[in-house]
Amino acid sequence: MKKSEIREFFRDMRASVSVVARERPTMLPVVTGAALLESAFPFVNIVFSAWILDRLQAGGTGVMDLVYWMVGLNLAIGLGSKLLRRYCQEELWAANAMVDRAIVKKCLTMDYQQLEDQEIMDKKVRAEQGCQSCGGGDLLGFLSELGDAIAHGFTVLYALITVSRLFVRSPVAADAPGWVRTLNSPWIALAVLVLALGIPLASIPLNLWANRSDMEMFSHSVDGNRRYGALLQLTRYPLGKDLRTYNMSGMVTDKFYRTMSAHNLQFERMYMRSARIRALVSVLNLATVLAAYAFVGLKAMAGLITVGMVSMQVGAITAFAGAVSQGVEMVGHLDLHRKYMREYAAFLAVPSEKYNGTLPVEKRDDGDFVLELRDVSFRYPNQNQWSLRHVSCKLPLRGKLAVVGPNGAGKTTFIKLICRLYDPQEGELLLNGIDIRKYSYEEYLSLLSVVFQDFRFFSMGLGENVAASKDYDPDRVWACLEKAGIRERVEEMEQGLETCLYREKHGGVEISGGEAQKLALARALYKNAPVVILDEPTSALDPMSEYEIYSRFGQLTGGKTSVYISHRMSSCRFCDEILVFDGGTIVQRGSHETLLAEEGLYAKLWHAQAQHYGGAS
Amino acid sequence: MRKYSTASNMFYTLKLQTQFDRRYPLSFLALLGLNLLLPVLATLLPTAAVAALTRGGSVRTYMAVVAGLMVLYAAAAYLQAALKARDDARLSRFYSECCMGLVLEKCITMDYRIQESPEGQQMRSAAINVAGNPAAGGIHGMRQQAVVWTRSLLVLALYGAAAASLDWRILLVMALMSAANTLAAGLVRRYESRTRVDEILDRREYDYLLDHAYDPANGKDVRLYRMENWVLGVMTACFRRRWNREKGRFRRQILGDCSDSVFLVLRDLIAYTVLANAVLSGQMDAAGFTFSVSVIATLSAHLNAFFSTTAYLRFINIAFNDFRNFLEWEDPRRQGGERDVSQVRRPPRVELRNVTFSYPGQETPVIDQFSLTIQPGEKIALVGLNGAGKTTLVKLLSGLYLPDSGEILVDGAPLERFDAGAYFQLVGTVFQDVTPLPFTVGENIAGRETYDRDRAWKCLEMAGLREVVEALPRGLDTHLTQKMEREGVDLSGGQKQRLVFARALYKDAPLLILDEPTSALDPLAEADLYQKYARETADKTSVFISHRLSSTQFCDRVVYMENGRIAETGSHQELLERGGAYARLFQVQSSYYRENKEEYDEEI
Repeated sequence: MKKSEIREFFRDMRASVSVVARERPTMLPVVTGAALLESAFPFVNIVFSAWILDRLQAGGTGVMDLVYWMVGLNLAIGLGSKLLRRYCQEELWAANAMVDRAIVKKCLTMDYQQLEDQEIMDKKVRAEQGCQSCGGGDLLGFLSELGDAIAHGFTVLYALITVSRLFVRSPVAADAPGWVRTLNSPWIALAVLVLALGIPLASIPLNLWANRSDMEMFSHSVDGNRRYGALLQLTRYPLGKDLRTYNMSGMVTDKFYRTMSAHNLQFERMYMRSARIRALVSVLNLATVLAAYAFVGLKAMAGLITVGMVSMQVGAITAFAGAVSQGVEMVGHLDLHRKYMREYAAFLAVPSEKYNGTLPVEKRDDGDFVLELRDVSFRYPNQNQWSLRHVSCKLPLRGKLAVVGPNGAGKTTFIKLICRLYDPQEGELLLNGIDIRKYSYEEYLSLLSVVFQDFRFFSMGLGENVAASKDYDPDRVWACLEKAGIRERVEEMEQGLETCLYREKHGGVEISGGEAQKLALARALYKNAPVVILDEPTSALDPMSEYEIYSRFGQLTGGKTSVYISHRMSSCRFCDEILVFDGGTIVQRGSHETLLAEEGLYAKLWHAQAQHYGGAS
Repeated sequence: MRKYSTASNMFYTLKLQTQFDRRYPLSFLALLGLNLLLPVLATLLPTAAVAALTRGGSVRTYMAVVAGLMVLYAAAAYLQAALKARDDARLSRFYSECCMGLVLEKCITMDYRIQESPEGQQMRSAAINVAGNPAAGGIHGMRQQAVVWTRSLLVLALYGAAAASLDWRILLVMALMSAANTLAAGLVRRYESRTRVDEILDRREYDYLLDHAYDPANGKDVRLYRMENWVLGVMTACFRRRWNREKGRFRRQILGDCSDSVFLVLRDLIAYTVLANAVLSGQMDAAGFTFSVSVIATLSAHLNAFFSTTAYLRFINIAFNDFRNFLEWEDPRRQGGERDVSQVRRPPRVELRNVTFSYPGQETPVIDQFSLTIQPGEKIALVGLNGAGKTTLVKLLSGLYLPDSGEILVDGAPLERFDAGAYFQLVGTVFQDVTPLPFTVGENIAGRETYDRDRAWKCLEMAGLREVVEALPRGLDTHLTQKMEREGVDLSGGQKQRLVFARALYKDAPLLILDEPTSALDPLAEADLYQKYARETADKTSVFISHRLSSTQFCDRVVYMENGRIAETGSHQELLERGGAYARLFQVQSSYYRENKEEYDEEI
């Protein structure tokens, strides 16, 4: 370890400890207290049984007093440490949830673009797996190891107090042989202690080797674990239909066994390597025990100490060596933990790449907003093809706007840019003449109610889902459900607005695609933003429901500005203006009548559908 | 649900691992032997040292005895650690590969209706928790503790006999201690059993929230509707419930801690009194004393281990049955039916006779006394409002559900008389929710890893996806989504629909069932798909569901459904002339496409 690394180690440790101290103030004192008692527990027996043996050999007077003291201390220390330990477990549980919460919060609030960034998400996966691998997840593992490290420190202290007796010269007869005098020297005792300290310290490189091997193992397992997760997703029921009717279960299980076996064999190889290194280290430490037996035993033979002292001192030296060795290993573990926790910290600290302005958005009742795209080009990360290329247009956000075009023309990307889920690589978007990046993002989003093509709900209460909040105004929710044409269906549900969506949650209700679309619409209405953007909002609706939404569209959006994307060309009929996208640019623009009169893509799209309905082709 | 005893499940786990890894029993025995040897050596070492010191041995004997035992101990310790490491690695392979594999296989092959049901899903997540989550105990705990438990049992027998030879009262105290411990553990276990269902539900909710917060698919809505506080609030509430439950468990465990501590005091009082008297009366020397103290200490350490392991095993066992019951869940469908699918005439005649079907917990049937005969090669357009039962009918026709009453006859034979798996060979399906597997494009089309590539290209071409796939970095071998391979690609909604259409074409099954296959396609692609559909299904019996009524013109017959029954049936033209519900529906949809504005305005 280099000096800078050591400094880093202590800095990171201090940072982690201070987080814990702030969030759960009782935690550290209790961990320390538990360590103090737990490490004292074995010494009661080590010390007292030796004293009892000596007292017995000396005739046995007062031996029972020692026994009473011993059991009394055992009772107090044993009970105390167990109670503290339980309390620690409780607190650790809470500390862990704290980490979960921080990560979830980050995922919910980070830039959308980053959420799709595999590299950033890998940080999280690495941290998670790393922490789980070294004994319990996250903070839980860190704290219990910190507790162990403190306990080892106390053990060293107790052991030193116990062996201090070895440093006291015993009275020796003047005619004693030379080896007896030598054994009586405190320097020999010091040499044994140095050995007990030296072997673990000398095996630090071995420990570091094992740690590096562990790190390697877990960075290797990131891919394996991601695949494992992906394969397990296939056990969910929505995929079950395809897997059965296309008889794909054989392929899935083959892939599962092959993937897991490759992953596991590699894991086994690396795991065995570090385990063997660690086993070697612990065997090396037995040399200390042997030295202790030799030294203390010979001392007893020379009559310098009693036989009882032999077991006491060997016990103490063994405990000392064990604590030092495990302490060294623990420092390695803590170092690993620290590194994994840094991945967490790095994940949590991923800065927003999105420039977030401070300008408030003008609140206009007339909804008179002008959105302008100036030579906007955009391509998705890791893609060569431009999804939008040199798009320029000025859109007064007034009335009803339709956006049509073939699959892949850039319609949905256009919407995502308007929502600032992505920023374009070239060009800029302006709202009322100001770059949208200069507005506060939160304020800017408050202008938009969007129903995305692939909208989602959470498996929670229906009312909460419509309001996107725990607290909601039931009357308003009902009104929005009514407008979206799904009030009756919800009224039939036993628990009404409290009904939980999806069977992911026990007692939840499964809804059809059409019902989900109506709910998504209700959610957009509940938000009550001045601009409503709907991306394929009726694709799963039957003609009657679609008709209802079309015919009441004006009433639905309450005179708000609306942008409507659809493959059902019929929707263009009630829109004031139509944008036709093709190949990433706007190719046509105008009202239905003018566009139909032009010989262009719009007319082609229109007739492709209209011909089946008796319209002219 | 069957309840198996802990012993039965322990044996079951060992048997399962032996099936997975033939040499496993050997490694189990070797590890057990070393685990037994180590405490014995640890007791012998101090005893031999004290004996050599007090019985007047020479320096050389003392050193030889101590060094000899030490080397033996070191060798055993190293071997034990190495074997244990291998055992751990094998165990992790066993649960993640073998056990999770069994759960996976069961999930994707069991009766679909059970998989989809709330109980099925609950059992699935419980089984996954047992098989794949070592933190919850489960398979991992059961297997690992099996070694520890057996070792403790053997050490108890060995050291118990030694302790009994000192004084029977020591054993009596220990027996009382175990009785009290068992009682206290029972208290904890009862609490765990009582709160288990709640805990499972809450854990499921917690995991669901964790999963979905990370899922980029939720990201857009979360941001646009500012859901972060809501989601975090629900998560915190869920955590609090779980934490309170956990606290309750810890508090109950304290009782066991207390009783243990008190009995240890009793044990030491008796043991040391007996030993002191023995030494003082000259019946025992210093070495004997050291040996006895070590025996008693080891005995109670293992007694504790034995109890905590037993309690832990019994705790694990409560949930463990979820795993076994899930795997043993009986399939109501018929296996190996007498009707051979290869003998079914192509295209087949499909007949539904008084078919009734309802979802559990719902009073009104979704499909109600439904009767329909589809002639060989006939193309049926199935239309109706949302909730009319179309998708359920599709699941019945594709063999995913069996009717509650009535029967479905394929080429004259009832569905039940086909082997459940084999029947699927007859149907090509495109379901409404299109989710490709995270495998390669080709594998998604063919449903297997080795397939006819030319045919796959041809089907992609027909589905209008060939150009897109050709432009992908690895063509047919490109993975979909980045879940399995980092360089995977995502397809748009329209592309996914074309992909599953290509899959249906590749399968070339005699009965084709398409549920809303064009909902995400643009008008040109839609018109194109209609034509291809008409061409490709010439020699197939097919059912086509769409809300775009224009599609019905490519079908021989329209079936208009209402509330799980047929309301109208006939050709598109006939139904229009009849002027019923279907005609009204068509009128509504076509009104937007009327040529001139006046006509359109009039309609509205």
